[in-house]
Amino acid sequence: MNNLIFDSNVIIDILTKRDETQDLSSEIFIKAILKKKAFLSVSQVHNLRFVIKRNYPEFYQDYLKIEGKIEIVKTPSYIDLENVLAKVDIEDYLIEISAKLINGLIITRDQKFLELSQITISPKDYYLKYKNSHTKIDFLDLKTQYLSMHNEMDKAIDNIISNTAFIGGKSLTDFNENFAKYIGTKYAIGVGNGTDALIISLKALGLKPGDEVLVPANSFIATSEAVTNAGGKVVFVDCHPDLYTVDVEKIEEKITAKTKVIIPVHLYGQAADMDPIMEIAKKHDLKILEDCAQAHGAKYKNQNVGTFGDLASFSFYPGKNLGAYGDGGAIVTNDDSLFRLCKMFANHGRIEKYNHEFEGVNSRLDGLQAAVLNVKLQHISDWNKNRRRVAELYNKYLADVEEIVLPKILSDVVPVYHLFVIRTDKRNELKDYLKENNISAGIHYPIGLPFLKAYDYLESKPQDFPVTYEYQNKLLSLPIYPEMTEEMVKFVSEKIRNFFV
Amino acid sequence: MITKAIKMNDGLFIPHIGAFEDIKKEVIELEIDLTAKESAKLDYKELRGLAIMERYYKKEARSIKDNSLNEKINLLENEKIKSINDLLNAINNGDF
Repeated sequence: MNNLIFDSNVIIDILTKRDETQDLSSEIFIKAILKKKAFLSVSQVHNLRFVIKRNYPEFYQDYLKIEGKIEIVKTPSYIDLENVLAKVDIEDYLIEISAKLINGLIITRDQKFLELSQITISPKDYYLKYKNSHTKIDFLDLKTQYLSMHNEMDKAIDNIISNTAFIGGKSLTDFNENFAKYIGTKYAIGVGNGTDALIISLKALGLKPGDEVLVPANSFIATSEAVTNAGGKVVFVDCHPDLYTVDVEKIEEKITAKTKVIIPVHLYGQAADMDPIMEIAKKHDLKILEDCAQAHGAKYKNQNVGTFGDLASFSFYPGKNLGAYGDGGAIVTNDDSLFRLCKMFANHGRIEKYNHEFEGVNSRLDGLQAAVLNVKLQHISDWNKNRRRVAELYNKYLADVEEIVLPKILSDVVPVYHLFVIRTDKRNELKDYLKENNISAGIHYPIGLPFLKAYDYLESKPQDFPVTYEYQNKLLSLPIYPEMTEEMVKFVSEKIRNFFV
Repeated sequence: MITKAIKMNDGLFIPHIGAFEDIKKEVIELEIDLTAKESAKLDYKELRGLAIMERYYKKEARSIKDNSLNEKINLLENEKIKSINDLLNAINNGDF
């Protein structure tokens, strides 16, 4: 269903003539409210209140109750007074520019409005359009997430712009404090992105040329390229055949005298098996840098990921469970001296202005992104809970499809399902079939890290990383995001079932 | 001056005068001589109220009349809430 703004007269009729007939407009209006797709332009509010209070006082309280269930959208100030619609009816024009902000349609019966605006539609035409539309499931839906909290987000962003607090400032100090508290570490340092968080962390751990760093073979390239960019040598470890995170049984065989750090990646929102990893690190005197780019809020044995290692890195790429409105990242730690080193390295090697103790980099989480993240941080627990709800529904509806393997989770792990990854021999065919049915699926990752051109120099062979090699043709990520409804999960599951039938 | 009287729930609405209440008849005869100066006596809020009401009726007049379908509408078939009254009950009961 589209985001819909209802013209004022339509709302008035729906409310006041409800006993005469249950017409089309009412059904569309109620459906939109139930699906959280009903909106009002702020420019309508005073008119609606005035007309209803004046003409239909007996319905005024009812109106206020319903108004409270409709999202109110701002009317931007960048208006074009020469616009034809603006000249004919300025109020209709203001409604139109509000609707454009939410990529929505306006339901109206006003002939003039229908004529002059491309995004208006009559109730009858909308019903026919909706009835004949095909369900489309995106891989993720950041628009719906934004609309669910747009007022607090717009306020936070406006505040940064009106105070010109673009670099540093209160939003950043608040975020560092809030994020450390959320993860459960003493410190958090906002940086430019997740890859920078890894590089800076490795630098702070004292990585020297020739030092080896163990990295899971099944991850995004950021994990391994950070090692090379920090001056170290990448050593890949195959992934676990059921969990897809690093296979802890294969770590020790890769350790040499030059090994300095292990980077466990909490992949797809599931925690890596941290107890054995910590034991191995202790035994061989190695440092642990947790890559938490896909696992904000995931728990291992009641403890948040990011609190086990010496340092942990996070990414706030927009599609992440906690995503900025641009690039962003963070490093967390409990160690005073690592905190200081990371903070300095991220800021040209300084704590005080112009007192550069060494050469660092310029990697900052800017004020705007910090403000966005402060708003989102208040919702992350609910969002993660909803991701688990969606995963449970997939598990329920796909349980008896023998041709696919559903995600397996360690018993002491609370995952956050950044991705919901299934395994099947017919991965590519299934992905194409889903695409034909308007369902976007993803592959994470189509080429295992050791087999990328970037690592040709390591001369890896399939038998060196057999699980990663085999799974690069079998793993498929299904759509998952907090706002997915049961109906949507059911739709995706039915299509998967149909494919195998 | 030519004006019009619009029948409403509680009487007649006469845009140029701004009289909203106390005219309880279906039909009235009017003879109005309103100068621009007199019209300007209306304060901002009264004028704004007139403008809002006028727009509402203007839009009503522009409204497409035929909005019927020759088929059963079933948008709310699978929903517990099927009418505005259901919606208000759900809101009142804290169910929505």
